[in-house]
Amino acid sequence: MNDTSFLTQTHVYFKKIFRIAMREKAWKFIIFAAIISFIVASITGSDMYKDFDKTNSGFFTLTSACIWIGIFNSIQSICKEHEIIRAEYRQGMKISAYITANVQWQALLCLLQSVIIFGICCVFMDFSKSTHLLISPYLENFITIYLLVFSASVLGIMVSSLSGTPTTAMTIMPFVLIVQLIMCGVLFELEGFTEGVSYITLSKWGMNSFGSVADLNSYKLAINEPLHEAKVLVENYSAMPKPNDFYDHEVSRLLLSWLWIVGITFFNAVVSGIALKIKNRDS
Amino acid sequence: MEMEKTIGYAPTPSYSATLLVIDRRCKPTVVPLRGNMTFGRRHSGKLCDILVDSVIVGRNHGEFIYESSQNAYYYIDNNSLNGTYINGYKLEKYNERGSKAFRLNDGDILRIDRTTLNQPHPEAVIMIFCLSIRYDEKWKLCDTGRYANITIGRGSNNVIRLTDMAASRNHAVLRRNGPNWIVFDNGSANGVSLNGREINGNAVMYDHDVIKIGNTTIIMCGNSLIYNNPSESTGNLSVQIQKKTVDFGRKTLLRDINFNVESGDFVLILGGSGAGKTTLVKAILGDGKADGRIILNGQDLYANFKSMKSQIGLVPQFLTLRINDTVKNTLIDIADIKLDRKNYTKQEKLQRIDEIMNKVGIKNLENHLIAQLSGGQKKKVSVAYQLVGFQKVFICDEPDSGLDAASRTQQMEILKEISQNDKIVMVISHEPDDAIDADTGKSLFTKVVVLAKSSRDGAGHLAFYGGVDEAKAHFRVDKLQDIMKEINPPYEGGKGMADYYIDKFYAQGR
Repeated sequence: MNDTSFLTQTHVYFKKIFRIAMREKAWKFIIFAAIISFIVASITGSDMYKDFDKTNSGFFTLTSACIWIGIFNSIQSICKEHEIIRAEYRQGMKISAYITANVQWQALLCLLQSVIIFGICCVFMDFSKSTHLLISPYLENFITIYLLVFSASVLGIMVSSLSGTPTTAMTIMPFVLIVQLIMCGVLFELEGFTEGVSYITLSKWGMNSFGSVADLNSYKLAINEPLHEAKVLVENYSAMPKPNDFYDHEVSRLLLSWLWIVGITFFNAVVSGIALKIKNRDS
Repeated sequence: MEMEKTIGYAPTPSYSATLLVIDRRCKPTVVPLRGNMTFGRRHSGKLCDILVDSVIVGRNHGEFIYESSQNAYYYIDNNSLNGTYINGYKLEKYNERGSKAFRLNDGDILRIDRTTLNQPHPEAVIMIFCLSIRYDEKWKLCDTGRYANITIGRGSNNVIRLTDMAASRNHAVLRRNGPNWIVFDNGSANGVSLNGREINGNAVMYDHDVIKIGNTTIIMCGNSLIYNNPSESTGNLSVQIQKKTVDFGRKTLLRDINFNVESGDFVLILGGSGAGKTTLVKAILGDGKADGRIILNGQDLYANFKSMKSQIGLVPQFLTLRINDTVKNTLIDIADIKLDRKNYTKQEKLQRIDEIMNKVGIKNLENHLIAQLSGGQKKKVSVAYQLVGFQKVFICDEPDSGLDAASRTQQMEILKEISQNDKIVMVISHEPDDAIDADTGKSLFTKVVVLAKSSRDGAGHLAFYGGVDEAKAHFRVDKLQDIMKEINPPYEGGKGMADYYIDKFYAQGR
């Protein structure tokens, strides 16, 4: 016995998703990414690379925007099709091929979005202030943006696969975003269990990538002028912020962060497939 | 004058079981089974119903027994000298009358032969119990002596060329291996079964072995291969549900649902709310498995769910297609998923899609987005979508809902036409009287299944199964939809006679 192969089905579904996305005006996702990135970059861009706090906040905002854009791409993509998936699964559809095709489409869409986000960021942020780790700070920041948007969109696919309806998916989405924001370690210092959880958040590894490329540990803390005494006190104590090991300006740190993002992406894709398999186990 | 006693009524099976008999001259004969029949050797005395010339067959070798309550055939060996092998296992003596009765399923192979089945007796007899072979089936011979390899498939270069679309282009090959043959499955879409069991890659084939490819039966008989060549799939569906429960067995939704449907039947499923129509449909689809069996062409759906599920298609009440895709692309994509590239060329797929669109009447809409279609047109696309594969059974959940009267009739005519292509079409409808043949004024349905909710156990029971006119007579109504009034409870505007009709149907031994 021989069914149509995984590759054939992936190709069929990719063509179908692409065709339908074009008809459903997928370009609106690109416009949306452009608007978000413009707002973020125009507000944070001028203060970037001045001190630790502002640069850190700028990257945090950019990371959050990337995750938001990515999840929004795909949060409804699977859950709106559950009945169709059920019918097609019965006809011989391979869930793995369907998920792979969706991931491929997101990879393409996210690439276009990342180019737009990166282009707008370049207008407002001077990435050249960093020294390169691998090739150039521009390319390293672009890769980080792309990995974040793409990984977040696969996270969206996972949430969509687990959700029964688009309403459920949209209800879950804010919780997922809040976890990403809180667990990245920028807003709050994490310890114990929460620190462990932070390892599976994209925001942590996105921040680490940006921080590593920008060598965030080399920036000084921002101290308000009127607090002169305090400033002197701080300078005497330590002119530098408490270093974050993950922001070390080292190739290994950057690669580790990227690897974690890729790993989380793969994990989310696998969970999506398993979720759909379980949902359709009787079909 | 002595009055003759009334005899018990035992209806003949609602579908035609046949016996493909291959006697010592290797000439296939198809014998229709009609109730109880005896089997033995031709001789000068009292003759059996099914006769063969082989000397190793006893004069009164065995019996085929029809069990009306199950609508099934059994076989008993009458303690014959050489015995009977079924699917390779000899029926053992049970008592002085004969062996235990063996329930026959489609494709079961009965052999009268010597103990070493791999070296058959020259006078050996093969009989194949069939629910899917027509009485007038044409059989062909292929002389194996001329070939070292015998290729089988739809491709024009094959030694045995099949027209059955369920067969792949290069489906299988038989390679000579000393005195025997080895059958290789060339990664076919629907597989190869040898003596009723699916082979995994390859298997040795001995004389008198039977292989099945799609709807084609091939029998090795001496230096010949005997095979039929049905062009489209035929089907026979037997629903045998003891019960279907939910809530960990606390609530019974269906109980004792037994009926058989044969290819060509257009079956109406009627029932009030809560009678179990959807549960029945899910059970037949295998989506919500019941305690019992769903037998399609002799194979148990539940036991072979993965390989068989695609043979039963569902046209759902609500559209399950992507509305922002065109009709043609939707059909091409499902053809690409169902029909693998290795076995079906792009041209063959496009040809099939064109045929289906013409058949269903949507060819003129091929470049339209599904979103742009009317309700009736969308339903037609759903039907076409299911037709792309080689389903034997179509279950349509209210295909006429939301349509005007003219569209309802047209929709039903299309489904009727599909059933006439040797398919089984089962329809849940609340407007059954609209399905009328414009020429004859008769109902388009050939069979009616009526489910009624019993007040005794709260479960859906079979209140009737049979022809349309019989159904009207059984419920004493003029219109099919009036049946609902008879069986629905008073609080739903009915007469609340469900229990009466359930009992009446069972009392008739149906």
